[in-house]
Amino acid sequence: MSTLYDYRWHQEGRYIAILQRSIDSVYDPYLSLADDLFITPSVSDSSAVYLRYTVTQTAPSSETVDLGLSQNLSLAVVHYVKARLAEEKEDFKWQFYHTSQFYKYLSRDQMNKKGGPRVVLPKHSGQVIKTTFGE
Amino acid sequence: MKLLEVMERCGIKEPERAKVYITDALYEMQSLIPEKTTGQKINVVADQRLYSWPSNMVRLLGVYKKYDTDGKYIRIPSIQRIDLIDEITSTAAAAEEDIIVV
Repeated sequence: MSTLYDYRWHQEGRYIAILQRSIDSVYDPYLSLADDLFITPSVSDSSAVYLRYTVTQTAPSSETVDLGLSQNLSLAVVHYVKARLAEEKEDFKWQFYHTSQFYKYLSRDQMNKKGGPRVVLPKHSGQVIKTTFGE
Repeated sequence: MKLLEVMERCGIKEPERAKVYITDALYEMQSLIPEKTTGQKINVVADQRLYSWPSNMVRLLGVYKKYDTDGKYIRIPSIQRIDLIDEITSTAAAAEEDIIVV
């Protein structure tokens, strides 16, 4: 029977460290600590580790090129730029206002991507609450 | 929304200045919400622990591993307990590159 491996990762400075440990086909939760250590991968693995992340974006080179963002995110960008301009003028009241607007439009964009009504349920209720929208 | 429209709304006349601010805004936005995401595969090599982060990464959303048993990518957790790692020698090796001799 082939050996199975369990993987973990952690950040070491500017690197990501991939760790590996061999596990038995039958999981034993009472392994001793020495057997439980994660070590540097001892064998190569063709099936890769996959990182999912957000990437940097740059502003368009031309003035007539669209930013490629939704309306809410475009307005968020406008408020961010206004906040930076207010910061340069040391107008911290308007900087605070535009920064809060920036976060507001970001959250609004995220909330718009979740369909359906949002109902606040009481804690530990377990009851099904009947909504009466449109009545 | 076009770059020109952003400049008009903000009252900026210099395009290069607007581009710098918009680039900052996009970076801040990407660090908060996953607007534009991508992925990268890292091949696990024997006796190599450290791998470089992607150069264009803003925020990590997850690390996944494809196990041979079922062929699906499964999210692998980060290790928090340092006593479960055999040795920390690789940290010192990585830190050597950052040492600045005065």
